[in-house]
Amino acid sequence: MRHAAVVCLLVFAHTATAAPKPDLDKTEAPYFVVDGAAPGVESMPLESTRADVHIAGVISDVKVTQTYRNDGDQTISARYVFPASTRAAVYGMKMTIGDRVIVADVKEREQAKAEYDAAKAAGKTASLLEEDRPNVFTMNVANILPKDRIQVELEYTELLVPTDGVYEMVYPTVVGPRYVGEHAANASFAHVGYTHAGEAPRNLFDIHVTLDAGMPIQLIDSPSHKISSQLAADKQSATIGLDASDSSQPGNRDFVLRYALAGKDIASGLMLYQGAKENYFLAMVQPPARPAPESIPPREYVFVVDVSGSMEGFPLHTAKALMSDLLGRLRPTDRFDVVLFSGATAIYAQQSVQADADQINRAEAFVDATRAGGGTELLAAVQTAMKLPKTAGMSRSFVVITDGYIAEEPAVFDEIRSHLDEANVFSFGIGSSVNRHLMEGVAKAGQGEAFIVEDEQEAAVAAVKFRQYVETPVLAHVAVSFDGFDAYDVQPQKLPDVFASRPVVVFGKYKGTPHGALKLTGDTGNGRFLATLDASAVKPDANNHALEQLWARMKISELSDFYNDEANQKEVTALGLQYHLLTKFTSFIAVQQIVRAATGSVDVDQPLPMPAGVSDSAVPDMAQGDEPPFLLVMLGAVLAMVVARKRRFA
Amino acid sequence: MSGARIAALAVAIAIVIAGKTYYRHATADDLTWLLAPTALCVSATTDTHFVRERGVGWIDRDVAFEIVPECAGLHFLLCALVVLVVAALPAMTSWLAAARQLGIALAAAYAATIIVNTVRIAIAVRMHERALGGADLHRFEGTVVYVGGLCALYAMARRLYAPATA
Repeated sequence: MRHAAVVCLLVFAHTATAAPKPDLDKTEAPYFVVDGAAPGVESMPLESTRADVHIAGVISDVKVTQTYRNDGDQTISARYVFPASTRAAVYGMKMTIGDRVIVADVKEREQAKAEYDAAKAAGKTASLLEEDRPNVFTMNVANILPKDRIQVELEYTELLVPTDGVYEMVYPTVVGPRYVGEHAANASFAHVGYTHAGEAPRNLFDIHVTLDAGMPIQLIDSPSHKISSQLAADKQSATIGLDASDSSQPGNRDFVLRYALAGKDIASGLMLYQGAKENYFLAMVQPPARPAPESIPPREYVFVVDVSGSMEGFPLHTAKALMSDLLGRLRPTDRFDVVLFSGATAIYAQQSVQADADQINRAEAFVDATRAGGGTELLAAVQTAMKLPKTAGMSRSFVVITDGYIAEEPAVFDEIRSHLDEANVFSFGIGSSVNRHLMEGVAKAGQGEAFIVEDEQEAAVAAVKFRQYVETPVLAHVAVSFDGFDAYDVQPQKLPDVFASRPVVVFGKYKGTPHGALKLTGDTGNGRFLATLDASAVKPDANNHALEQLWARMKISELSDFYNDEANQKEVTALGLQYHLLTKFTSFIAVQQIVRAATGSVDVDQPLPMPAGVSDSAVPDMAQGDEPPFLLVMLGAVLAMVVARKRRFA
Repeated sequence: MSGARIAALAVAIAIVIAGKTYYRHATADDLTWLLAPTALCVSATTDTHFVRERGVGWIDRDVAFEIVPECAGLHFLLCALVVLVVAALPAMTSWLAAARQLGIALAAAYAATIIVNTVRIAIAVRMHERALGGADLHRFEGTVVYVGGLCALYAMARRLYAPATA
């Protein structure tokens, strides 16, 4: 028995010195915030966010001001995960402490992080802005002293491209709780606290937009917020803000502003900018009108529908309405199948079925009978859908319907790209704070189109558009060429088919005095399309300076936004440093070179509000049957053996 | 103590140390060999339905309970192995007998783990459904079930090997 005791003691010694097992499956999952968990520590350091947006023509310039305040009695270091537009080119940041303004510098990500950590450890106030996803950023602010108020401003620019003559500016306010599956890479941003559904956001949000359209504005509207707008006398400019009478909380859903010019005219043509080292151009070519559908061959559709926990309630209700609209618009000659997914997948039929009334009714019942719950294994669902047997002789389209609350976007894009020759993929984002990066990436990888459906009313409109897009693309085999215009570094290098009535956008650089022409060609249902933009008729304009950053942002997007690998790290890093842009591999850092906190700081994650319409089911809050500690069990075993031996020899 | 017995104990210790090291980094997928039968048994013995969630473990959303790597029962398995090897020492009269007893101990420890862990989790699910206690009470429940299981296992093993030593 003594030997057994020695054995157990040896084992104890090993386990006692072993590091605790990291919670591998949960370290990156979102969680619910517990109020008052650390007395005396400011747990909500973000006081307010204000966005000042200036739109001039087709380019918007956004200044975001985040104010951090420490009302606790301990020094804190705050981390705030926040969203941005998927096309944002973040080019500037500065930090203000009292009267002192520190302009941030762009550095390689790891170097910036090291400098931030060093400043934090040394007790200096510092801020670090990192990109987690093209539309998810993390702001870190180190050493916010009690009673401090620190402002961090960041600036970005983006191109606004109209669809069906309507311009849309989206300012996302909250990152939805992401499901972290096993393929999610670099998803530490997802480990953030959420307040419960229905709770008001803990920080203030405000947005002001000035719009200089250059042409008479016909319509200003926001489907997401109640706004107040003032149109100038010439109707070419306007100021827009949140309506003070609106009692709803503005900071828990995307702010969407739509506007149209008189006659649904759009700003198109060529814009030029003569830079210090290089010259840049932006061409926007309006495609021809959509042809009337003629004899359209039957198609096969596979609908991949998210029924995970985050879809509970309003999102799933909207998704079901959308599915009903989509199925209802199929022709009897079409075929379809449905894949429902959460943590697992459920398939309507092992082989696609004819879209007759009976099958549509059954499929609607199949979808209706589903209730939301579980994780969001989109990758597994896409893999399952792609493996479904294809009907010979039919063109195939996949339709992904989800809120996109996952952190494994690149793996999904890779999977879709690997089946590009078999089908195209369309995405429908459901909800008030959709992961637009996923939606756009799925559509881009699958050479389809992304739709955002914010409520049930928009479902029917989106379903009609989807049918139009699939049946009669506006422009196919699109190509751009230059005749006497000395262009280079043209982005994108390959133009996709055009489904929506939206201008084709081409960025590039040019040499010398602008002359010659840019030609865009493509195939329409009515024959060949050719549009020519005369470069010699356009003069470079210093006001177009944003073209420099927008060109770089598009190039970075083409290189890294939708890819899993780090193959282009060098090129993206060089672009980020040269154009002073935030990228996956470059970060903004600002350090006040004064030691302000001598005793260290407490790390605080700014809690996020649950996006409007999303239920608590989006955040896993499960009980677990964790095992008792090993030492305790072993001790019990030893005691049991000792007692048994004593009884035996008693 | 004979060389065979010392070797059997050394192997048991090595397995425990290797098991602990493995457990430290094991994911739900790595632990499928323990989690899957446990989830199946819990589903069969209670009115729950645990389904696999890749990268997480087995989940029943209806009762909001998950069986994750931390619930795998590996701690019990390792302790049970030590207990069974110690109990079987008298039967390890030769190198061959020691190897055979070690194999039996491994198989018995695995079977016992599935049974005892199922009991532990089933009780924990019931407690959770009735909103009884928090993590501490669950851990206490787990300790009671585990130690009880180990006592029973040791008693059975001693009884089994008693005639050989009489």
